[in-house]
Amino acid sequence: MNRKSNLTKPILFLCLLAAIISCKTSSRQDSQKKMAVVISTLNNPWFVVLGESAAQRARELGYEAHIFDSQNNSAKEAEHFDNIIAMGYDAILFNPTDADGSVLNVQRAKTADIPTFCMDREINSRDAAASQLLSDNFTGCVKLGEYFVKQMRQKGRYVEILGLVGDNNTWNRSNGFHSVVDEFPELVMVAQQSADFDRNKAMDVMETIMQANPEIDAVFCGNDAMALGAYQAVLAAGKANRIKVFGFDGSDDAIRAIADGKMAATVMQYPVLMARKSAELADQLIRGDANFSHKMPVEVDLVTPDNISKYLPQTTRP
Amino acid sequence: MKRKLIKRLIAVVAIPVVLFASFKIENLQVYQAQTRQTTFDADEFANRFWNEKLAESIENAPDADQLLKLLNENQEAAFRQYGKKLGISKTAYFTLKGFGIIDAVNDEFISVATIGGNTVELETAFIFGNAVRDGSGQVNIDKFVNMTDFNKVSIAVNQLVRKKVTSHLTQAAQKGQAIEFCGMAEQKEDEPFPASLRIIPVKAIISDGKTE
Repeated sequence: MNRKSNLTKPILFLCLLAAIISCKTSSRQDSQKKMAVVISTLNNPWFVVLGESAAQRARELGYEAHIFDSQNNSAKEAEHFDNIIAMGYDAILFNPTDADGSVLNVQRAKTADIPTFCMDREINSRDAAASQLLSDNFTGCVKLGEYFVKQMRQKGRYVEILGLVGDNNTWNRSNGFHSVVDEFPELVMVAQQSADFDRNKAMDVMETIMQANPEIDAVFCGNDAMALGAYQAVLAAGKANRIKVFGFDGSDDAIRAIADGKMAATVMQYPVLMARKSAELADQLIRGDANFSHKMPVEVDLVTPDNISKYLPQTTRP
Repeated sequence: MKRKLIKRLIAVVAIPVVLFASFKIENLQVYQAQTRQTTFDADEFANRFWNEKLAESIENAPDADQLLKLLNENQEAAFRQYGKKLGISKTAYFTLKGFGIIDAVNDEFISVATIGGNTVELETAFIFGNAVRDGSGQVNIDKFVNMTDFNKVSIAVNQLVRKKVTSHLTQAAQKGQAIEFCGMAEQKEDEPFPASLRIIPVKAIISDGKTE
């Protein structure tokens, strides 16, 4: 009798422990899965579209989704990753601030079993991210370069305004353009300067360059915001009829500028497609299917006055 | 007293010197641009691709007339069977080979009437983009640290096309000559199929015996 009562307490304790563990496990299984959307900056409408589209698709797929703004600050980005890892998110849809500096954050998330999907901006790593979905900037600028050469009739003096020098997209665009244009020796680049993807900076840069080089025939800019800034400078200098402006992005303003004859061409990117596909791949991986490439270029399209009607209003092709 | 003063003086001088020597101040953007330079040798990679991998793509390439017939009759099947796509894209790249007679030579291309009655244009001026790299199906994007290196392969491969194929071809090609060719072409799913397909040649043998 006495022996029986001695065993009762440990058995009851074990039952209670098992109940607590099973409760905890089932509550974890039942709780809604979460995706974090970390964006380099929400100060730029392009990235707002990217972030909100990713979050929206994640919600459509049944996830809780939260957007984190890194404010173009790598320290802030690292802080977000600390919190995301601590809070046990299931995946990260990530638009990095820096191709090299952001690798460590992605690696830390991987170590914590949280897959990261880079959107639009690349990190310099083969396998830290589960996948990287990136606009095919190089190919887009090869097409733009070919069109540029034909518009310029293979000769003339031009300016290149670069984006952020620490961003791979800047160089992939520039390299694609130069892989074509540099093969034509009568096309001479008179100046190449960065304006950090910023419209106002591009306007200042273009004004300064035009003062030093009055005979310019064209300007190629690494994004549409800079192209529109450069156009303002060109317009103010009374050279809008002479200097052809080329951009990249396919922003609504640039599409309208091409339709109005203010810009010569741009390249259309598809941020909504990129963001939605990133969320879908994250969902696919969480469900156990990792059958996709680590790097996924997303096709872009050349937009010129010849095909502008296809892009008014903005579409989400391809 | 004097010793103490000397020790303090040494400390006052030495500590800032040691601290200053411990840091190196650099412009962040310049530093980032420098560190981004990788050691990837695109020319060496392209040469290996040209000498060791390309032959397999040429060997396995479909006949130009057979592919063109399929592209005209059933584009979806042609894309599925022979097209190579990268990432999320509507553009597919094809490798194809064939025989024909040169029917025109101009500054941009050499027009060839194939034995099956089709016309193809061998590019000689606008050798750009990724048709050769991606059409070959021999270069795996996942093996590259970044897109910059991957894209450098296309630039280097296109240089080899100019050096090893088109530079000789433009000099030797004349209307009426027989030609054997192999090359890569691109076609977008939602664009109409052109009357004559543009091909970046990776191999061209013309009847005067000159082989590229």
